[in-house]
Amino acid sequence: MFCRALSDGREVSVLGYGAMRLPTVDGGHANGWVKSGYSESGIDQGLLDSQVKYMLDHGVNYYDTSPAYCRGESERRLGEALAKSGYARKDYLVATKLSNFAPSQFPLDACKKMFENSLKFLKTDYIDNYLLHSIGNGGFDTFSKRYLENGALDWCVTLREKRQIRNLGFSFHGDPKAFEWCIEHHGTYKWDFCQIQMNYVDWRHAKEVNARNLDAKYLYDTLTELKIPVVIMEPLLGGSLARFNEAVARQLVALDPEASLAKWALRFCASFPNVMTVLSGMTRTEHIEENVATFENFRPCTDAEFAALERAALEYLRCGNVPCTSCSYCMPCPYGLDIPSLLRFRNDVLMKGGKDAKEILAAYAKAVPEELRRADHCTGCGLCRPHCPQQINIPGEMAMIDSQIDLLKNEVARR
Amino acid sequence: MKKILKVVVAAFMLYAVTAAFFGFGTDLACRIQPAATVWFLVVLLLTPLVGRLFCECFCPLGIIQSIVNWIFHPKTKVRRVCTRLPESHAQQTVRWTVFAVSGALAATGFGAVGWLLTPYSIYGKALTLFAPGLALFAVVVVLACFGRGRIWCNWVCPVGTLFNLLSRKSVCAHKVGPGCANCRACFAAGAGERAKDETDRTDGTGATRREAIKGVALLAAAEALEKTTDGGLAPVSLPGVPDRPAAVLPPGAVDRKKFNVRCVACGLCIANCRGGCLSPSTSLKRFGQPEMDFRRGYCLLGCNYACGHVCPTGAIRWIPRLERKDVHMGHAIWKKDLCVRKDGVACTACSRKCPVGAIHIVEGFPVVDKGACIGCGACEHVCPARPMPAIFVKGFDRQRVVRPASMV
Repeated sequence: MFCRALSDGREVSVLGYGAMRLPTVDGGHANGWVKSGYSESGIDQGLLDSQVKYMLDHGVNYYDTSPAYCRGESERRLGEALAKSGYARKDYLVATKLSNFAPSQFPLDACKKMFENSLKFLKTDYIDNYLLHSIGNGGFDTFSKRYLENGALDWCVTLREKRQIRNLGFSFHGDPKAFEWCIEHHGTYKWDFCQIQMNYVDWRHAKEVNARNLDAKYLYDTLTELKIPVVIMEPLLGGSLARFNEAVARQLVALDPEASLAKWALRFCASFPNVMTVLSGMTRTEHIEENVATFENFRPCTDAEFAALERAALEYLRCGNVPCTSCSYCMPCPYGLDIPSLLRFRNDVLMKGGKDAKEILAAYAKAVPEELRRADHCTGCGLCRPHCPQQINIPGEMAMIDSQIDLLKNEVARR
Repeated sequence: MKKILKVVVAAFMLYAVTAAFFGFGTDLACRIQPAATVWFLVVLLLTPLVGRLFCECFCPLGIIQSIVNWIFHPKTKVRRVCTRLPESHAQQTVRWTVFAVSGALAATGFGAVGWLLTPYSIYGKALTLFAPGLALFAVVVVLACFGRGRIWCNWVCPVGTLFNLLSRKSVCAHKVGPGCANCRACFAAGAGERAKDETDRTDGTGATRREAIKGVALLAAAEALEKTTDGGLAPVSLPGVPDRPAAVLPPGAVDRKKFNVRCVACGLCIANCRGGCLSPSTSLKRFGQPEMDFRRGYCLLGCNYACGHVCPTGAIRWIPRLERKDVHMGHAIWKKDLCVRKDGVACTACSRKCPVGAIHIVEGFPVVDKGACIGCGACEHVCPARPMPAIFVKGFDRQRVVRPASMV
């Protein structure tokens, strides 16, 4: 397994496991998507146990979770799987977060409770890597209220002094002001690592996807200059970069015909020397096996390969996809909409073209089987918007999907 | 030769009416249904000449009864004999009572109930899986199993009674000899050739078009739901049927009174509704007749009046030359007490969805432009308020056709 050394001398596998998309009994993942529609069934603990065991056997030793993931189930399930694996606590690193959601979680007491629960669920007395979760999401004000005004950040620093957490960092999505603030205060807080969204599309083109984003190159360079190790999230953009896309594949296939698109995307991220770990939210055992193989015989990208990936990124952008990663931070929608499934339908069917109106309507019914969860039931209330780490204008997209569907329905009705 | 011709015609008619309900071959299939259109008059006039052509060859229930007869009693020459036999006293009492009651109901404005026992009504309701229709259809089939001919036609059906009356002096019909003692021994006789009924024996029922209704729990109030974790689906539920002052009729059912009399509640429009919003009424006066139920759909602006196109009785007129948005079926009414906006929720669902831009959010509340609203029900369909939608459509007694000359 390809590893890099931490400042304290410990070795970290460059492939890390993200526990946001734990496998469910119905074959989907716990933050959303099954074959058709949203997964509502429980987490498949038996499968998870065997997957975690497999990864530990193959040297994957970085496990990232959060109190919010999988409707709050992730920490407990991951903790159980790690405990059952038979490996000692020192053999793996656990990362979890001070999550950034409801205002009821803002007071310092609630933060302390959240941390205690994390220790309890993960069956441990210390956390290797503790993160301020998704800073900048919802704007700088939210960041300030969540971490600064309530003294949560200072409390985290004391936790680090007490060695209850070994490394303190933050994950960044959203408002650049929050990132800049953290960088400016590096002298005070001494960030041990930072988690950013990076992949070959976001490397130079994050701004094209959404003007409010920062390019991953800028984030990486800034952090590297300060010698802050980088943890990568969304290397596959929620699986979007792993799904077949002919225009993208055409740029890459000549260089390595056997490599999957997922392998290309993971190699891209891992090729940068200041990247500590690339997190992948692997739901299926086959994905784990494939990615483990990628990192067991790891070969950094050559200049020619970087150039090909840049061309692939441009092709990907041309598809006009919304950058939804099915993270389900927007869920549950109070009006019952199945937002990740709807956006995935938008990207994979509606905007792809080449299909008859009836086929598209059938695909719509399959993507979101329950009529009351479809796009026309969006009220435009906007409660989801501040939660989206990709800054997607969800109500706008829902209106777009519904107007397209209405056009198709009318087209069919006219026949 | 005559037998073969009859079988072929019967097979085609059964196919045509069934096809119309499943939305294929619609054009021809719908135009030739002789249910109270000009065609019906033609058939009516031909009856004294050729006998009960309608029951034998056109009526879907008649054809199905013949098929059932043939399946259970292939040897009996039932069809030929039974209709000409002198009727028993009981039979006459039953059929004329039904005829009189149906006629009286239809004449006094209870047309939907009056038409309930007519064959297109029963067949249509059965095909659209409307429970009373299914029950009556089952009765028809069970009665036919006794091998005593088309018992429903001869004992109950008011249309059959009418044709029976007209065909008494039919020129071509078989006559029963003067010596007949009505012993009915002929029923058991196995002699004689019979034209094989080549009609498809299945009655063509398939899977329901309608999606199963899902979701049970009440919608959580938006402001009460605090998000602390990721993922999951909020429970959803269908709204209740609002207490509308007047039902919304399909576009082209211009005058409510005339519509109520003309519609035989066959369900053809319901089966062919593109928006999935027509459903059979359960009100006594309009039993089985189509009306809008916006819980599962709304009237599509781009629809080419599919309901009017298939209507065999002309109760819903086909008005393809009028733009859909110029036919006003009703208008939306908004109730503040029910609306989620009164709780400060920033909902704009009705205004977003309205296809004619008739709902404006003014000072935080939806205001309906009654001049522009066409009553399509899109707003009612998407309204998140539970248990009742806060915005619903009131149907007009006379639908309005608006030609906004000033706006051209």
